[in-house]
Amino acid sequence: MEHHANIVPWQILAAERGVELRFIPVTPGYELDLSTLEQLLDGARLLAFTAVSNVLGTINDVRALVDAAHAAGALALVDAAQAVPHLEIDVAAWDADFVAWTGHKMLGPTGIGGLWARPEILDAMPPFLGGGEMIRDVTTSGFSTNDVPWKFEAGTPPIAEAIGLGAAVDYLRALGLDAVRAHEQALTAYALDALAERFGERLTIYGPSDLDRRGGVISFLFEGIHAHDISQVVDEAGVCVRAGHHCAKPLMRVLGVPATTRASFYVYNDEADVDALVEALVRAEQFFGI
Amino acid sequence: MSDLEDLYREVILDHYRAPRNRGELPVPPAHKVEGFNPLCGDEVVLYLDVDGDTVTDLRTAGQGCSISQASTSMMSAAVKGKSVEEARRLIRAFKSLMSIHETQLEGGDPDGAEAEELQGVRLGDLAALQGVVKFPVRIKCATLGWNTLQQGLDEATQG
Repeated sequence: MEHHANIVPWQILAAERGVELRFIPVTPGYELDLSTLEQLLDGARLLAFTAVSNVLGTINDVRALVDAAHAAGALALVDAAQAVPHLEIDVAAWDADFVAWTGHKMLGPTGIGGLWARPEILDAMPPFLGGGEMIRDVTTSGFSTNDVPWKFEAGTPPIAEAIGLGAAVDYLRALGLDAVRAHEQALTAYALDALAERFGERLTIYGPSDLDRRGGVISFLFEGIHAHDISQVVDEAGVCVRAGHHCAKPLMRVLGVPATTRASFYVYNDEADVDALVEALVRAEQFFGI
Repeated sequence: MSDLEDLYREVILDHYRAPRNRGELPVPPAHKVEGFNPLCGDEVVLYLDVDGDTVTDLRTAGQGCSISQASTSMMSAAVKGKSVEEARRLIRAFKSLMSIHETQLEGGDPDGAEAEELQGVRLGDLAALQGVVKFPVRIKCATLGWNTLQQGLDEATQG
C-alpha cells in the first residue's frame, strides 16, 4: 500500500546492510491484511507504514499497528504525509517512534517537511550531515554535536520554506482539522454517489467504500479509456486530476492496473468541482466513443 | 480546431479503436522486442519478420494510452512490407516530426536538421500525430512504438 518514498529508502538500506524487507498484503477491500502481521513482525526491527494511502485513501489503524510492532519488539515509523494535512492527529496517542510528513501536501512550500521521533531515539542517533548548526564545538582533532533538533539541522536551513510552512500550519489550525476532514468527507460522499450514479460499473473505484475508513482521494479506472487520456480530456475542461501510478507501482501491481486516474479533494474544492469532473468524464466518454 | 481535437485527430482515434496488425508471430523466425514507458506504464511489444532487408511482416501487442497505441498501430501500417532502410528513414522522420517546436507548427516550414530528415519522406496519416507536440508530456507516448521498432530492427539485422 506504500508510496515509493516508504519503499525505496528501505531497499537502499537492504542493499547496503543486507536488511530483509517484508510487505503486508492488501485485502480485496483495499485495507492492510493484518492476518499474517504477527508472522511478518517476527524478528522485525522496524514497522514502517502509511497512515493514509495516497492511492486508495485507506485510513490505517495507526495505534493498532504501532502496538503490534511494539509487541514484537520493533520500532514503528508512520508515514503521515497524507494524514497530517487531512486529519486531526495526535502523535502521543499514536505512540509511534517516528512520524514523518511533508510541507507541500499541506498547503506549504516544497523542500521542507517534518520528522518527529522520540527524544531518546534522536539522542542516540548520529548526525547524518556535518557542518553549520549541528556542531557544539570543532577542533582539528574532532567535533561534538549540538542538542536535538540542531544536531540534525546542518548547514543553512530553508528559512523561507520554514516560514511558509509555519503559515500553512497556522492557516490549517485556524480552519480546524476536524472541519477540513468533515468537508472532505462530505465531498467524497457526494463524488462517490455522483460517479456511481452516472457511470455505474463502467467506472471502477479503487478504495474502501466506508467513508470513515477512507480519505478524500478517489482513484478510478474508466472502462476502455486509459488514465492518461482521461486526464487529458478533463484537463481541457479545467479539472485537474493525477494520472499514473502515483509513486506506488507495487500497489498498482496488486490492483492489476498499469495506472489510475485520481481525483483528490481539499479545502478549496466544493460540489461544483465534483459536478465539473462528472461532466468532463461524460465528455471523455463521448470523445473516445465507447 | 481545439487543442484537444488537434491531439486526438479522428485518424488517431480510429487506430486506437481498431488497431492494425494486432497479434503475435511465432518466435523464431520472428524477432520479439518490448518497449516500456516506465513513467506511465505504457507497453509496446513488436514481433518483426525481417527477411534480408525487408520488413516482411510485423505484429503489435501491449497496452497503454490512445496516443501510444494509435501511434504504434500507424507505425505498423507504415513500415509493413517496406525495406529496413525505408523503415529507418521513417523512424528518423517521425522523431523529427516530434521534435519540431510547436511554434513552428502554425505557418512556416520547419528548418534545420528536422527539415532535412523530413525531406522527401511521405508521412501520410502519420502527420496527424503532429498535434502531439503541443502536449510535451505526450510526446513520449507517441514515440514509444517507434523507439521499440528501432531497437527491434537493430537487433534483427545484427544477428
